[in-house]
Amino acid sequence: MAIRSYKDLVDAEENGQTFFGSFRKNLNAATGANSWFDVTLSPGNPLPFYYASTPLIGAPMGQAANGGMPHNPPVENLGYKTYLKKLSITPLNTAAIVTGPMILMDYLFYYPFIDTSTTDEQFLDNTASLTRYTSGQGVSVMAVQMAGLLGSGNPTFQFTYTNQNGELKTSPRQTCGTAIFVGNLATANSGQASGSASNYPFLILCPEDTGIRSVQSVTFNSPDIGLLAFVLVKPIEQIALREIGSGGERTPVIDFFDLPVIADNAYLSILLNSANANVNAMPYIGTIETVWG
Amino acid sequence: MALQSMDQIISAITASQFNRTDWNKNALPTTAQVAGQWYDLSTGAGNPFQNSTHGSTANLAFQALSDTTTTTATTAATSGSISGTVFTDTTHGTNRFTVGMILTGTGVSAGTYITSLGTGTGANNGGTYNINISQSVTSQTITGTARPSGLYTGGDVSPSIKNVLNVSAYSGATTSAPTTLMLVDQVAMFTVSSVTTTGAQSFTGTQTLPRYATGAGLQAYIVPSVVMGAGTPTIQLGYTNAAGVSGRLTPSSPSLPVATTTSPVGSIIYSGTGAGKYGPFVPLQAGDTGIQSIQSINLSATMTSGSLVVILAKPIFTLPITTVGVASERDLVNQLPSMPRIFDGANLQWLQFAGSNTPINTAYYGSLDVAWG
Repeated sequence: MAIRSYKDLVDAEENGQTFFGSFRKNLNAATGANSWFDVTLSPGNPLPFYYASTPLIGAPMGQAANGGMPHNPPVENLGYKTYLKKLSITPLNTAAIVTGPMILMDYLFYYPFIDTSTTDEQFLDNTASLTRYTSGQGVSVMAVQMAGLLGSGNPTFQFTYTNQNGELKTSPRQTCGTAIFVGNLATANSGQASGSASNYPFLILCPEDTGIRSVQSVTFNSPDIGLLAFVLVKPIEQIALREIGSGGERTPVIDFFDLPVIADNAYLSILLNSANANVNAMPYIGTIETVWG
Repeated sequence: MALQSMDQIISAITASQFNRTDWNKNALPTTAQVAGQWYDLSTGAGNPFQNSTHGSTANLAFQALSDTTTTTATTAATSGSISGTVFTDTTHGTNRFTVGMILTGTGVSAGTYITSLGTGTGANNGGTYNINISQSVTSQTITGTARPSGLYTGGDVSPSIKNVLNVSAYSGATTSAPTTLMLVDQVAMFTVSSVTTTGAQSFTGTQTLPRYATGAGLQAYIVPSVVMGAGTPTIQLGYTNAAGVSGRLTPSSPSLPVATTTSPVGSIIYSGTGAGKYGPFVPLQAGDTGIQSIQSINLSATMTSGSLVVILAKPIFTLPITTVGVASERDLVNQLPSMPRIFDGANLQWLQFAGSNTPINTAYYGSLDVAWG
């Protein structure tokens, strides 16, 4: 079964195959302008998730074990798929507010406590593997700052990974920005690197690679003191806050003509970019509606 | 087959005949963008990886471009070496080395690629190129492989037809707006390294287009693959139009396009404001709706140095970013009904009009959704 038409969508609604949830986050972080920031580590509802587990050992993420933004329970065993019906976000504070895109993503897998202070190759444990999007097609990886790194001298690193076809690759060189705060993406913050710039949210893969299945190792060419988590994610939908003091709404099938799938047991969270400095103490609330059929 | 109703689009999406791509491209890495000029972002850093095909082929030769195209350049036998992060092309072999090329050879570390030009200009003996991985490789044949690295849109889908549903773009960097992005399908290219030659130079090779076979809607633009010298010649292309009429010429009235001095890599050299400036495409003769093939390029004076690429491309859509920090979005089903088609093998890249002087490495992020049925 699947939703094939507007009528199917209406039928699913009338049959009660819908879910409504709400969330609240308090972005308790100082950042620079034009920084990408992972709200997963921010307090609120759902509870923050700190990517804190055994160092360098890869671990899957899922709603049942780890939480994340609310969505409906699994339906694939009933022959259904879940779709994003509506997403809305409203900021509460006009003093330190975000304008910019927010990307709703399914957080799939993470490697905690990658040490940025050593130039030794750090090997990552892949005893566990992806439980959703298992081939890695369309999966991206981002480097989330867990502690410390200030980005002095724009540290650079490379990593080895398995792409969507199961091939082992060595990544292009990645360059960290400067003035990085916990929750920032290390390669995507306001202190743009000189030479090869940063500020892409996701780490750069080799030519022709369209996804990533796992990360095998990380090597810093130039170190700084700090800790990273490498997080594998699947972007689902974006929503934009365009103006200070106003919220954003997205009804994908109506105003952007797509109907993103939310996998069973998805861990949903948001990556945002702020054109404004200091995303500190900016609370926002939001609602999420899903439909299945 | 085709998507012919709202319900069919929904059905295609939910049947996984759908692809979302998140992309990022950065502005020129070494030279700030100038307000009023157009740029080709494909050779910039970001995701997907930079396009390294521009300028990689033999002088004046036709090269078709698709998402899987590869071109190669080599040193002469046993005439390439690497010391630290410098690759030296002691005696050049074939074609031209470019930034972003993956290097291979006995003992060359996997994942090695050219990050910037040293003294090398693509094909000069003794030219050096900076690479990403420090290593020591003794003299041997070293090969560079270039790929276009266009936006991925889900692969080939024929006999289904693929259409763009929506697109978004954003930049929070200071003075990154206003700007306009244009998605193009790069269909073919011609390297022009003989930039000190004046008068008409003929292109070589059989020109069979991989897409848009008649040339309908195809237009040409010109960018450097190596920074240009001080010359400011006028430029005229001789071409066959989409109706198959040969002998067509870039019109000289009101003015032929005039190159800008010392144009950096990735800049469209005749774009800008004032007399003789156009953009992004070279103007066509009156009544023409596209270019089927290009027979010649005529530079009125030497450009002193550098290397150019003439690119045939199909504009897909434009997307303005009006304000720094404000995401720009287009729903091409409801908001601007068009659903532009993406052909199998499309080599999708971004052109950009700089509405303000824009710092080096300014980052743009966005997404692109397509569906097929």
